[in-house]
Amino acid sequence: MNKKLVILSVFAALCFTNLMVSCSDDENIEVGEADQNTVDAVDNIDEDAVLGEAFTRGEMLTNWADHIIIPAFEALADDMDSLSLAANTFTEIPNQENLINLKQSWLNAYLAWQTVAMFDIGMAEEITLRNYMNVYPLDAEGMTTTLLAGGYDLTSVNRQDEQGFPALDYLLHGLANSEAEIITFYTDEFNGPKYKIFLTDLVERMRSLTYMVLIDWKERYREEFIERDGSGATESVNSMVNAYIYYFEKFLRSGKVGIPAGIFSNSPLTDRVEARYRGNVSKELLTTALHATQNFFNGLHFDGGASGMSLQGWIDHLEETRDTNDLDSLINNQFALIHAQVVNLNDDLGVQVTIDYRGMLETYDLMQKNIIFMKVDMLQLFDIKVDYVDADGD
Amino acid sequence: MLSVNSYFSKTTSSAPLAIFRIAFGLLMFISMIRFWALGWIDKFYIQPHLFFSYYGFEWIKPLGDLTYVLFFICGLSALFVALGLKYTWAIITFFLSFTYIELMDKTTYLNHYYLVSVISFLLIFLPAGNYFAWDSLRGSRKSFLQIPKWNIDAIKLLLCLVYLFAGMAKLNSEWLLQAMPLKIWLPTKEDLPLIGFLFRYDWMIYLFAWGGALYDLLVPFLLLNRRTRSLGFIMVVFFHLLTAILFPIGMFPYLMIFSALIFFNYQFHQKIIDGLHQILRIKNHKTHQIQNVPFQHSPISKFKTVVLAAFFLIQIGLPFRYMLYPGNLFWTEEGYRWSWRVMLMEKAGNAQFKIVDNASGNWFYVNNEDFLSSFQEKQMATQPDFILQYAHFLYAHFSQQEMKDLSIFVDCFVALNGRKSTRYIDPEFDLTEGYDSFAHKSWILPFNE
Repeated sequence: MNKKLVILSVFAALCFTNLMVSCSDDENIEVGEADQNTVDAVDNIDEDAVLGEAFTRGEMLTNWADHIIIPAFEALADDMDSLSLAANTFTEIPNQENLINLKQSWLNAYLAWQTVAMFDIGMAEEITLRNYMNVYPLDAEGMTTTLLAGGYDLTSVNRQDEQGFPALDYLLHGLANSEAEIITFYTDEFNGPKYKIFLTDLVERMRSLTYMVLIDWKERYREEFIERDGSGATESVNSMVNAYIYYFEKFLRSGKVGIPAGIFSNSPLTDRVEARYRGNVSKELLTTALHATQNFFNGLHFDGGASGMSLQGWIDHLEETRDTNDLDSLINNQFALIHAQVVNLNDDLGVQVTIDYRGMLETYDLMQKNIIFMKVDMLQLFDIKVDYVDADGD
Repeated sequence: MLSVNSYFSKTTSSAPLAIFRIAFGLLMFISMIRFWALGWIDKFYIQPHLFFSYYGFEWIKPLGDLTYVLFFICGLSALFVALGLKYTWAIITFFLSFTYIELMDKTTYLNHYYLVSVISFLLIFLPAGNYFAWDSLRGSRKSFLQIPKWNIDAIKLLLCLVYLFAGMAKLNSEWLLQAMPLKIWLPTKEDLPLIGFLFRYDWMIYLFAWGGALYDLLVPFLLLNRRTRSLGFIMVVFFHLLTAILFPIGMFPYLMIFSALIFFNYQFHQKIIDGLHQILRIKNHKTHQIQNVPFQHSPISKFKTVVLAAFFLIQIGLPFRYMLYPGNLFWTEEGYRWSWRVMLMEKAGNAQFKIVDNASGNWFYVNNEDFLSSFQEKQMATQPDFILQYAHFLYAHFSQQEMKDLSIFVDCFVALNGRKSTRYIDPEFDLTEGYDSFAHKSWILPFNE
């Protein structure tokens, strides 16, 4: 019977160890050190058998946070400051020169937005930044009613399609056909002040939301983001990669290209184009967003100078031991094909959709191919799951 | 025939079966609470717009908010089973409610859920509520110290079948020669404390693959043999706890560990029961020495024999049915389920459905997110029967609108065990023309190595 007792104690000990190991998953710092020691010890014994440098998620997360995400939000914040300045100048003296300046500031900020839109994580996710910055199509009618009524609450979920860049697009380009006519909306004796106040409120809200996210990144979230360097579903790498692919699929492929081209609706929808009132910049916005996603994939620093650990580097690391050695180049080649196709499109995607929507379809198909590379091949390689659920691999 | 008869008239202590009942009931009770607490009832059975049915079980659907009641009944009956309270009704209720839950949506199919259904079905026919059970201790149900030996052997046989089939399923080139899919899964665990560094070594991955297959094939024999039983059980504990750390497989490791206790001799179980008697301060109630209804003679027992014989024949036959289908099993998944194929492949896919209005020639793509949860979409994109059922759902949905004459095509790419993704379904095949059956689905494109 003693034998049974031995077994039972072994059983209990193993259960305990198991619990310890599973729990300590969260205690990154201590565990990280212990782990490091073990690795070193083993490295000394048999260096050749180790598969290259150990890839660490922490290194990749640090590169993302310090060299891509935070600088991108800083750039957006700078552009928001300029936008705010230009809006104030325009509301003080609503003339053509100030309107032109304001439009340029709007475009600069809108382009900067394209470089952060994919980072729906941390505070941006918490406050659903994307839903207050760039929901289109704009509900122009609803927005006008809100604006004229005054006393609006821009934090309301119902007002999401009445603010952000699309609302400014309308207020700066869509009110009338000529700049002179647009200016009269702001100089109007009765409604002019309402337009001015609404314009200022919109800009200030976008600016404060941007700073809220930027400051949180700098003062709090950066640390948490880098510290959560495990492989679990709620850890930073999984969340970021899922957010990245989701953005590429839903907002780049479908939002900017598929939906306007009528891919989900049987007929082209010109009113679903981004920046539709301005018109001739929708391709530029798309191109900027494409570059941003490709740069993120390659770990290229926001300032364009150097690059660090990234999805591309991780693929390289993992493929060292596989027969296939080309997933990262497949994805980059596909990006190149997409760019080559987008170059041929009209500057105004709304015009492109009307004259030849097949150009948009081809763009969509090329992007879809990259979705398959990223969502199917890359996620399989990374062993990243879309969902936390019990599974036994079938 | 004589030896068969003498085998069936052999008796043994009923203590192991009682312990098995208690452990199984409690584990199931805990797993129901866990499922509920994780919010999975809502996520899997209330939120989705459609549910993927098993062929022939299309009539089984989630019950809306009553699904919670179903889970409550299932959890409660598991507790009743553990306590031995109204055992027969409890285990029948548990089997029916649990199996109903599993049949509601095949998106959540897991081998271990199937194992639970199978064990609980077997338990209906075993006298597990007749010793150290609430009812037998209170005298409202007969208590037996001895039961026919085959009752316990039946459970052992089932567990051995599970291990052996799981082991045989691993004897393929993917697992043994490529170390797939472990080569995908394990290297991502290299930041795990204490053992993570192991997965940076290629040979270690192969060791895990070969070790896993060998374990599955050997452990039944180690457990059956008295001399190697302790070693076998230590291996069971080690192996399943390791898988619990490495993979998201929920309650399965614990189910297997506690189930394996049945292989120990009756003194071991009797000791536990005696201990529990003391802890719970239960006075020994009058017990019958032996189950007094001999196995072979009553008509009910005859019926049992037939049912259980059929049950084990199905258990042995079902995993081989894949041989009736052409093509690569992992690729087509025809004959894949219900066969203890655990952790055998990593499959990912992406399916884009195209709806064509044949009257006008207009077409559009479907946004899967409008109809499916992310988990459903993931499962759908790699399994032909899901793709077909989803296409028929889309047909029903869109033909309600102006368009009547629709064709549905899918452009689907699947990556299997680390290979580059390739096209999975014939993109020219109109899925509205396809119907589910046990026959081979010819519109699955052949697997290219």
